[in-house]
Amino acid sequence: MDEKMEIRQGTLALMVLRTLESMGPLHGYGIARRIEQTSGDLLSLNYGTLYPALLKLEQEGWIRSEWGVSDNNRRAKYYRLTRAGLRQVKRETMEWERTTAILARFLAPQKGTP
Amino acid sequence: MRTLRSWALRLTDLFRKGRRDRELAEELESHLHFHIEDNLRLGMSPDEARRRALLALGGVEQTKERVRERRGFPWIHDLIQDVRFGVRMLFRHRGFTLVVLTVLGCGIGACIATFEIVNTVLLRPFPYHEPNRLVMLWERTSQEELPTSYLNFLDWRSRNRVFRHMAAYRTDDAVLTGAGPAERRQALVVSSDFLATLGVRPLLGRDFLVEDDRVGAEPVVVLTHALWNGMFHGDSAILGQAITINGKRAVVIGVLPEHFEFPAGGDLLMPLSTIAERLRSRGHDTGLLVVARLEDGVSPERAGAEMGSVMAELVQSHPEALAGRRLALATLDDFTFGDLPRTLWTLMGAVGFVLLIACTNVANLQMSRAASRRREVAIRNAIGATRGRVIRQFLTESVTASLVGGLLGLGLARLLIHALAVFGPGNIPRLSEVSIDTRTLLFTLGVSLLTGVLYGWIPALQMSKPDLSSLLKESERGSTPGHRSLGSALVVAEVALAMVLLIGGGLMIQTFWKLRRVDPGFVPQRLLTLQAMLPAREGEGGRLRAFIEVLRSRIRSLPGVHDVALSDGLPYIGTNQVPITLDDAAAKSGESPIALMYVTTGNYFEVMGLAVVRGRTYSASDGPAAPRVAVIDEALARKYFPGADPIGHRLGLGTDTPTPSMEIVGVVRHVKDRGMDERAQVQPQFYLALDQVADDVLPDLLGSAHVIVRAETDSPSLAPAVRGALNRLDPDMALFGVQTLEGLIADTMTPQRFSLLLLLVFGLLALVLAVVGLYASMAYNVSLRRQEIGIRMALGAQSSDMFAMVLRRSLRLTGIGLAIGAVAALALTRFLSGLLYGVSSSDPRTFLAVALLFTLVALLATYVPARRAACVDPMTVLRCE
Repeated sequence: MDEKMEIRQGTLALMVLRTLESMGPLHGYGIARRIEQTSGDLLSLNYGTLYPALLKLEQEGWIRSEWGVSDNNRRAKYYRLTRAGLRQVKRETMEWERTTAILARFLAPQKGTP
Repeated sequence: MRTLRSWALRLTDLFRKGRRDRELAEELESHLHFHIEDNLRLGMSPDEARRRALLALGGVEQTKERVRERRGFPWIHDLIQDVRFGVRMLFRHRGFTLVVLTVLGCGIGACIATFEIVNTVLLRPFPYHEPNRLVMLWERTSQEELPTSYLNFLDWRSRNRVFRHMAAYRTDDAVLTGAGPAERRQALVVSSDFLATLGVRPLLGRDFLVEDDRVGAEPVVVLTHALWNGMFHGDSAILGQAITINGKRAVVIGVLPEHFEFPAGGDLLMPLSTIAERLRSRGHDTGLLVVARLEDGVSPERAGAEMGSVMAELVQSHPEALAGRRLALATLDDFTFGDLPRTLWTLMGAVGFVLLIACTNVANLQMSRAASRRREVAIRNAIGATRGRVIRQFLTESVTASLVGGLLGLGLARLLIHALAVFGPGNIPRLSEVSIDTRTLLFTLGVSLLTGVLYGWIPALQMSKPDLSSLLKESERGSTPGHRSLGSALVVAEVALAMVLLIGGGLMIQTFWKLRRVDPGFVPQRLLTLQAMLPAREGEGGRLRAFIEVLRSRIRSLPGVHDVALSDGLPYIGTNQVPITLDDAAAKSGESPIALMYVTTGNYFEVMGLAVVRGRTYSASDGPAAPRVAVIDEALARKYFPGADPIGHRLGLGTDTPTPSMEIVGVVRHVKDRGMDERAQVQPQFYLALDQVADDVLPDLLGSAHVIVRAETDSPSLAPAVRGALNRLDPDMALFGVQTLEGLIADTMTPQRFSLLLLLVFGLLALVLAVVGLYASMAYNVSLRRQEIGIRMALGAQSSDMFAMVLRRSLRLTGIGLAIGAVAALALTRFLSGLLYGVSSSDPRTFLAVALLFTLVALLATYVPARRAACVDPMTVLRCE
């Protein structure tokens, strides 16, 4: 398993939201790096897909953006979670856990049946 | 809140494109910078660090484009693209588009026209205070509806306990002179509390006062806003000034608000005191209608019951004048609109049904093209369009077409409304006010959108199927017989509907034809008539008589004039309806006799071509001093002197005369003075000599006289000469209503003409729909059966066999439709029988002619699909398999 996995459709949004929830405000590059690190560098993130996703989340009202200054004095756009976004993270996390739990049962080695 | 913010963000994205782009560029730049710094930290060379960062981002421009696509409302983008494509498709298939637009335009247009009428006529309440509390009162006998008299009105008003206000009115001609050329307008002559009853206050000046009702009060007038604006240029200085109405001065005291309207019409209001001399009798020499406002908590039913007993008391105390009279009461809405609401709503439903048929037709037509768009859909699917996207595109196409159809429909509706105003029965209130307002536009938009979705839905679902060829095969194997038989049933229904309407139209055409040949009782050809306001002042009867003689001799001396007569009334325009007394005992049974009175010069009968049946007409020897004589018509003779010779009997005016004063000297033919079709009511007529009318009555009787000119050759061309002669005689004399008698007769056929127009318009619409339906159904059928046809031909069938096969199928459907239509027409044309004349509602010739026309048109519609079937190349079809 040398190859890195592509991110599945629909999961990127949740990853972004979770990242912002645990890390607080971050700029785009910071979010991308953090997602890669969290995955243990197993995921390959096409950075270009991150920005449309961020715009979508902002349109949904789950995150907000504002311009700020980074540690090394660079102007960057920082994203942070809104209260609606926080609720959304909780909701989606729960749904995701249930889905994976169900999928896990299907994927577990089948016993008893031929 | 969240959605609101989201919309706000999308909207600002739309309008601040430049700024967003700059921000995005800066954001990506900082992203690259961070990445490059990280890479440098990992020990890459600057070039390598930059290359890797760019690679990871997947290209700056591509990323920008992807973000841009998400900004704002991406579906707007798609929509514009789809509309563009839809319009291109419409232009490419012009023939198809033309048919679709015609069918949709007709369907939607009929819908809009009906809606406009419903909207204007029914949905807008009268601009009065609580208009639903207003009722109308009048009188009726067992035979007819009658207006009431002023004396009865006064008694009703003083004896009732159910009305808060009660006012009487009538409409009269009002000729305005003095301000430029004479203009004929309509006056509402009202009791002083008329406006108070309606709850309307004048915009300027004052309302009528009780004093204005007194006999001998100074004549006053209130102008409508339109008249004030038009004739008096909206000048408020007119208040307090006198204007000349019917030769009499009246002071303007007020102007009504702009939105004022009254069902009976009227350009100005005058108090009843101005016609006090015509209001003295309890009979009905000058009829009035009464409008009243119900007291709080009183229902129209209770008011009707109570007023009924008030009327019964009056009849008891005045039996000679009111025998057989009862009270009639209805709400203002019912009185004004009658059956119209039900008719209009029914029409609305029918028109909606027609639109539905139109939709199904177009859907069928669309389906017949499914095969030709197979490739297009396949390519779209191949390059990744989802089914939803393809459906959306098809729907956009159909909605685009239906919106264009809606625009056409709007134009068509204008034409229809215009035609209705010109050819209409003239009894649809407010028709002149019909105009395009916001509600109509919204309705048009709504109906168009709905139509587009309705007819586009099924074809879109079917054609968007990823594997269209399998759909076609499915149908070939007959797995969707439901759809086919539904289509056939629809075609049959359309043919039947069109058949019924066209038969109705055919019957009306014959009625019209027959009515034009009816003998009206006189000779209307070469007769020209006009009305003149003679300089008739009270107490100057003698001078008026002399004036009339000069007038007649001036006109008679004009070249081309054969003779000229004068009369107080004219057939089709009207004359006085008066109670009469006859000396014959047989005539005194039941209700008091009523007849139409014409006061004429002696030569009236020759000029009109009115033939004498018995006795003589009056002549120069029947002067003022001679014994008074009367001429009656056949109808009066038949009704009151059945089987007897009326000559020598006596006839008197009114009910108060103890002995009838005139001797009947002659009987003339009955003039069909209400129209050629007189089955409903024949009103007896009688004639009195102008020479024998007392001087004091003459000015009132002949204030507006009918001048009847018989021309030597051609009547209309005489009009300017007659006008000129009268103008030279008295420049102040107002002239109006220049018409030929033939024109007047034509006007009486308006109801027939209107029904004819409606039936023909809807009949042709139905015909178009049926033909398109037949064509679409056949074309679809052929496109589904290409393969079968190909195989048959490969097995030896001839082209002509295939051609005949399609024709047979089409004729079978048409035949069934015609049979059903004929049966339905037999049942339905009965309702037309009231309008028909000289033709049976089951006239076999009409039925046959329409059936023939239909068969012919059906053959034409089937020709193209049948040709297509005949031209199928078996090799091509088999190779496709």
